Amino acid sequence: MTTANAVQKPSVLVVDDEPGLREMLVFGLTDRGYDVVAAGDGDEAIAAVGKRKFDLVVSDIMMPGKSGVEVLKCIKEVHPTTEVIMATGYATLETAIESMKRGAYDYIPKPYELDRLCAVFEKALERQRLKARVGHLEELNRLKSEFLANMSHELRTPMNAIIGYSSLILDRVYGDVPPKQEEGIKRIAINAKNLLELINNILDLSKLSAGRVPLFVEKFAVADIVKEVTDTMECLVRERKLTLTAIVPDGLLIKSDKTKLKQVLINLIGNAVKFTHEGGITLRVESDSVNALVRLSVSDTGIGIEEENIQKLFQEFNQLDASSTRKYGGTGLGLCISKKIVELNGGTINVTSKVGSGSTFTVTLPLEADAPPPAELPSLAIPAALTNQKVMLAIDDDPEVLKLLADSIEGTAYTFVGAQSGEEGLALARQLQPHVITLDIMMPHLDGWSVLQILKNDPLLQAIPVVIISIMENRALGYSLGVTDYIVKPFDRKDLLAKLARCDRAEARKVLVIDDDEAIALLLKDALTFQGYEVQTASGKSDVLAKLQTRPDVVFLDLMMPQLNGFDVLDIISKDESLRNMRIFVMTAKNLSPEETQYLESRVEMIVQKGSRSSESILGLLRQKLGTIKEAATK
Amino acid sequence: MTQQSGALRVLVVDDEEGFRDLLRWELASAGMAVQTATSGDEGVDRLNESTFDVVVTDITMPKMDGLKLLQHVKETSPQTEVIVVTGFSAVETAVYAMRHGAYDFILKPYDMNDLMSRVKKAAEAYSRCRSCGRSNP
Repeated sequence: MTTANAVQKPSVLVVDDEPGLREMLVFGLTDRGYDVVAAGDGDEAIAAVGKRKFDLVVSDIMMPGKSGVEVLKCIKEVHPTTEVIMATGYATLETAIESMKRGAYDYIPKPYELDRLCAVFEKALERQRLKARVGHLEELNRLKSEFLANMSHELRTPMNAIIGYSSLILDRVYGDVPPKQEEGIKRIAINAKNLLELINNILDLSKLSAGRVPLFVEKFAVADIVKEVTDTMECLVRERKLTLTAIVPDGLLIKSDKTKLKQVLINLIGNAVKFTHEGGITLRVESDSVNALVRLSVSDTGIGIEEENIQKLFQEFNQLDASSTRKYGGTGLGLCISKKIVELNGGTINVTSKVGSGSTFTVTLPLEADAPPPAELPSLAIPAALTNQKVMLAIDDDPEVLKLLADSIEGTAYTFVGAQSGEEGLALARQLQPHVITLDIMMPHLDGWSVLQILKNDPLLQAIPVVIISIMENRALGYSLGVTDYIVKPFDRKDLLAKLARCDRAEARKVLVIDDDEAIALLLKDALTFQGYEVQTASGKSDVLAKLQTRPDVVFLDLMMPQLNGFDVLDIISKDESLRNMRIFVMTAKNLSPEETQYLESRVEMIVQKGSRSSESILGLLRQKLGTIKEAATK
Repeated sequence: MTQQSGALRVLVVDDEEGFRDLLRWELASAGMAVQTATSGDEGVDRLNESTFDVVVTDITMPKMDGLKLLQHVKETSPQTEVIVVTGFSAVETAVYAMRHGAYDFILKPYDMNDLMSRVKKAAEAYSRCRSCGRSNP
């Protein structure tokens, strides 16, 4: 981008068919420090512009051949930042408007007055510099939003591991937890959830800023949403010994994004509760049929907001007072998110407040927001007949992706059902018991990892294979949390179908535990069943031989057994062609000789020394290993 | 980003009742959601309450005139397109309005079909602007 500065002379192209005027202008402008080139008609001007970029162009309008307006059009196409000043002896409204529409900087009368022209030049150059700076700042802002969005994903990944594993520990998956430790882990879990909420808010905000949040407009009764919101908030309000009153006209219908509007109201009431020590909160809904508007206001009897702070309320990353965040909690992003959501719905949000007596936040929305109705989406009504079919449930907040997935499996044995949020997905999973679930990770409110955790902790749902389809590459975490497969967006149809087919096979993840120590066998069986595996145990020669014939995918093998030791079992397996793909984990309390270790390492996935680790840590290792095996298999 | 599949939202600002009502009636018959204001000040109030795709404003009005309203719109909601309509044809005024971000400049009396097509064009520009998240130059 060219910026004229003190060192470099600003360049000017003078276009005029009258030689006298042209030469006078060239002389005058050169004298005043400009680097001037002259053109005698439109074609010459266009040729000159093709060779180099000028900071400024002054062009006559009426010329033989190409007119000034045509020259202007051409220059703006080639060098949009060049400022063009149109000049004419016969000013008409039409050519003035036409020139300005085509991007001229100014429209001046002829004959030229050099002083006036130079003043216009200076202003035009100033605007050029400002535009260049704005462009630079916009680019920086875009990079910032992108960085925030990416960073939030990076931050969420470890957070989900922290939350996921804390909850597994609290669920006693790794064995008993002493009360002291339980307390500590609960604290870790709660704080991790708070931190995740903050990260999610930042992600929401950057998505909203980047305009990447779709609206799902539907018609609903305002009273319904008010009831849902007040039900949600009631507990919090009662806890703080406040009152919550809702005043809603009966039968008022609006067309808007219900979930997002609910989010706004919950945020406003949550704020009101936070800053009100006594008294109450009123949620009032009024319709203005003349202007086709609805007003939803949340008033409190709280501490109020100082006049000079009201404007700052809705600014991103500008909390009124950091100390209030520490005192009252919250991320300080709720109001910015609310404002952006309301604006996305075509509305506005205002606040009036008096210090010491309370604040009122008013959301004004059109009775009918303008967005495509969600009806065209493939999903959402579920025919009763579906329950007997092979259903693929896709959970993704992006309707485009759902549509794409629906299209991708058309003509296969699967029937498509889509869910646009984690909550909806879970409800549908319970209702439909789908054959397979595809899951996006980055979704607002309840992200894919959380959905996955709920799925895998629900005895009725944990066996359903889950395929993650995400733009985030984090296979290791996915497999360690029990997903069957992982696809990185953008996906291709063949890959998707292949992975669905593999789910059919992966459905029976059969495990055989061969150990004569009943306690260890049962521990493993419980833990692995909990992870969704189908587990058998075996001890004794005939039992082992019989159960090997059921072709388990994975074998856990003890080496020291009375009738048939582990090495014998390995022999049997290696001699039987049909058992070749089996994955073997050896567990032993024996001190292995170097030769034995070498032999085993060539044949098995992993050797675990019993007694060298706690049973919890053994399980952890096994799970990790299973995860990496899956990962390797998909590559 | 959402597309404008719903009604176009238009604000008509003019102190002449006849002009205002005629335009409201014509635009509403074409399926647009129309609100009106009798002065620049009232226009600002409407703009604070709702978002509009297009504002059609007269220039000469008591208190706040149309050019000041144009400036207000471009400062507070730069993506909303403004069409300036006036009975006084002055090249300077037209250049001023266009340079301050007006989408179009129309002389009264105008041809209703012509005005309608310009409002629709402006609304298209608005939704293009909105969908790529770009502010007006």
